[in-house]
Amino acid sequence: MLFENNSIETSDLPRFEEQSFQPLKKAYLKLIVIQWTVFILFPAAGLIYLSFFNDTLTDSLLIYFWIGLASFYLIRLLIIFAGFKRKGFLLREHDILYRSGIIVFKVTAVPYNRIQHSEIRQGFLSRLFRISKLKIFTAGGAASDLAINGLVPDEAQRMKDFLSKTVSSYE
Amino acid sequence: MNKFDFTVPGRQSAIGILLFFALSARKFFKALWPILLVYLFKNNSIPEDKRFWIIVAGVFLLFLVMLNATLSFFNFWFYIENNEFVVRKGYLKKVKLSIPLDRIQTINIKQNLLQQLLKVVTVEVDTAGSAQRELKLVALTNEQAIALQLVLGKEKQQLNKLKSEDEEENSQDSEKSAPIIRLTPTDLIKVGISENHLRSSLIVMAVVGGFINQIQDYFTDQIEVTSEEVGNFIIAQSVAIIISLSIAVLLIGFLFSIINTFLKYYDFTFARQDGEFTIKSGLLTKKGVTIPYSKIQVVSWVTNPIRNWMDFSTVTLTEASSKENDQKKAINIPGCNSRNRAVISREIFNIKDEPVWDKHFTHKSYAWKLWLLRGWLIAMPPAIIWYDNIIVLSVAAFWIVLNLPLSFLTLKKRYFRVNKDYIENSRGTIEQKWSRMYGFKVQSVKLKQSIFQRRKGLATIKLYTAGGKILTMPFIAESLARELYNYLLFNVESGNRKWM
Repeated sequence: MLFENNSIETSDLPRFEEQSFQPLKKAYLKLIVIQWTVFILFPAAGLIYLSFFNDTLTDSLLIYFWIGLASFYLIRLLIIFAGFKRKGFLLREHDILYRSGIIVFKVTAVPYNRIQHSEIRQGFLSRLFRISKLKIFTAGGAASDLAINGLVPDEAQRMKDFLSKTVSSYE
Repeated sequence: MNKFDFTVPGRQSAIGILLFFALSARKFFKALWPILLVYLFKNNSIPEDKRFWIIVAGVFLLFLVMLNATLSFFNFWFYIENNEFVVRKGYLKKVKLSIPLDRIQTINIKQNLLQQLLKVVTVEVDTAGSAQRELKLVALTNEQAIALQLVLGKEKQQLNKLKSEDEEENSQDSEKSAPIIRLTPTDLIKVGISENHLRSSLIVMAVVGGFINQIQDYFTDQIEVTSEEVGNFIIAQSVAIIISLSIAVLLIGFLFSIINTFLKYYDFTFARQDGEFTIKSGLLTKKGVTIPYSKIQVVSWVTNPIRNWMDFSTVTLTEASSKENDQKKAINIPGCNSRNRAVISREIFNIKDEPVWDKHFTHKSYAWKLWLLRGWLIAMPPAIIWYDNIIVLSVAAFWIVLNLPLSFLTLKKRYFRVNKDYIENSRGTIEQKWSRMYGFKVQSVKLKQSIFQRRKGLATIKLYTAGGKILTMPFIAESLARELYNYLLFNVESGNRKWM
């Protein structure tokens, strides 16, 4: 037992682990994969230059570099795919939860009566993929703010409206 | 009773124009000091005929400074209108700032050396929340300031009373201001001596380093010559120099600690009054701060072995702040003995005696993780790079061995206590720091679990507070972590007590 002299049985409290989290949209997975691929193209371009136009490195060393880069790319890709299944959010009666992480698993909960405000963000690439990001701000500083990426714009707007209405009802 | 009417626009104290003049001069000086410096050093090389024009430019500049000060002063108005505190200022760019009275969080009065001479004070009106704003009136007479503080406080209270009838926390009988702590010079010496001198030394070194850097930008050549000489000298007598240098730095740090303590905490009084704490302190810059209990998010206190032996600790009250890690929002109360601490705790948390707690310790794999992070991860890279240097290797080995008992010391001090209403955690290695808060003041909760933790059935809980402080409970049993997570959320969501 965690609490002595307590009228509430802690085992009766609502538990997040038993409820199912809603997954993010598949388009968001595509977006992260593309972002990661574009990112890795820069060192790859450097290696191509070294391989074909420069003789400062020996061939065997270059092969190691290529293997290293490729495995780095693939491992990260694997983590992205495995981690994407973990990502999800859950709207409950009194709070919103977001979970993520394959190596370090995290679940953040923000109670509705602690939300300061929320906003929707959409970058250039996200607009192409038709997904939005919902950001929820609390007074607890940037580390505790919740960002749910990979939402359909309509859904994000509906969630934001719901949150605004709920938040104002607490004041 | 109040001889000041704040509903009509008013100006600041007339003597304040001198202060505006000083501020204005400082602003100009800040912008122009590199140029001034160059002229000062190259004075000989300036031909006679140009000196006249330099003097003319100087006089013109002085005139500008005075004009700017006068115009700023006469265009600065403050008043209360429609339940808002309003400040209008500026002559080229006119600005009107207003704060709704019920949003005012604290009203602080400060006084620096010049203000002490002119007998005026600064009043800072502060808000918190998503729209961070601060109004500053730099030249009010003391009576004006106190009257303003009173009026703003009163109007605010009335508004709040209209809004909500319940004041469960502030129901203390209206006692008159009773000082809880008053520090004597002997107390201050005690506080100064038991400071962390290593930290002060580092601050001194950083400041000196920064200063040298700044000078370097202007006098690169000279510095290079001297530093070369100094460099040669150091190589010649390295060991003796290094030892005496470190002693000197420590001594300076020690002196700095004591002087700093006196400057900051001279004539320190900490009092309570009607659900508020008031703090006054300072030698050159006098500072007065008022915080209502309800605004306090976290109460922490730190001791080290020496302070523990003398029975005093530094208590820190963290206020709600929208700026992250804003140190100014944390109020330090040095030289608190255990009795004072109990009084503060009783006032804020409304508890008579130490509550009944459930104490939970941290799993020992946390110590192994610390040993890996603080010991091996720091020592290994230099050991690998200079693998043939016996000195580096022995220092690295010593570092790793030293960190093993330290990690377990940290583990021993890492625990948390919780009951129905409060949560408190403890941490530290040589020092020990406790942070206590109301469970319902938590802003958001995070549960973290790495794959290593999952194998051992452990997890880490992080609690985010509005003061920017984060309470971490690392490496506790996963079932306990989930229970804590669910309970704190329940605690926050089931009540409608105001966290601010």
